[in-house]
Amino acid sequence: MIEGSVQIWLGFFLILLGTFWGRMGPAFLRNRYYAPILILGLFCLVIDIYELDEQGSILRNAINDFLPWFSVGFLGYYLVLIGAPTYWKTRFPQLISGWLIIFISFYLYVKYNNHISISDVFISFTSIIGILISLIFFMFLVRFVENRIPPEDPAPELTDSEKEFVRRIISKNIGVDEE
Amino acid sequence: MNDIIMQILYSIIGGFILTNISLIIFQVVSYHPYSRPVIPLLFQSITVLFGLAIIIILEGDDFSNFSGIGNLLQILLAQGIVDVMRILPVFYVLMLYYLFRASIRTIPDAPLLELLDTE
Repeated sequence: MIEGSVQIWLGFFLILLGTFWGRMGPAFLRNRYYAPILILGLFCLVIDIYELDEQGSILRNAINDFLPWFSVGFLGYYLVLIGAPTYWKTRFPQLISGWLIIFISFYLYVKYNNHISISDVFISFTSIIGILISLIFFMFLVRFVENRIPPEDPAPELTDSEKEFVRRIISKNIGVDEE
Repeated sequence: MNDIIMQILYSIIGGFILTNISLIIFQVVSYHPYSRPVIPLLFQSITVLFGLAIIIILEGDDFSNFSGIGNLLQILLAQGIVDVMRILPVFYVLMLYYLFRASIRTIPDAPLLELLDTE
């Protein structure tokens, strides 16, 4: 039973790790291993190898009810977003297929989650209070730590060679380079 | 204590602990020379323990049903994850409104972009 718990919590940890690595820092510096770690975490959560204890079973059942509609809905959202005329012309095949897939995700939600009552959802909504308290507390902590850092001295003026270097880069980029 | 009130408390503290632990992991894995995570990590760890202590006090003698603090932490984390998965469909439906607006919006005339077609 302990193996099942380790597997499911390892999956949870790997998903968080992959998500944070994938979103952290500028695009060209992000950790390139985030995708395999994220997929490995998903596999750990989904693959049913070991027997689970009570809370592990509750979590596994919730994931099994959640993933079908969510993954299909995610695909539908993605297709609609790339088909919508947000930046350029409408791409009708992606847009229409996206909306169809979103409607299929509704069907999957009803099929897999018909045992959840409205009162369950209302009780679950109260978790937002805990989430908000935690986020606000974190923001205050970060603000407190950042405010304790003494301000740095103003940066010194560029030297002549640095000014020339910047001028050459800008000239090159706007296409008026003398060379 | 009333079962529903206990369920609500489990949900609130579950959401609180799930977010705190996620933020603790985030600060650890995204560490860089300019980050100062010590004070937030310390206080967040204390608040996680504080959340566990609230449940232990409220459960009173019933706490012996749990096999330990680790078990209680797992229960609260699982509760937080299940709650998030249950309320996500509501936000999913709310987002559909914006998705629908994005689908039917007409983009304003862009003469410069049209020039690309003519080239």
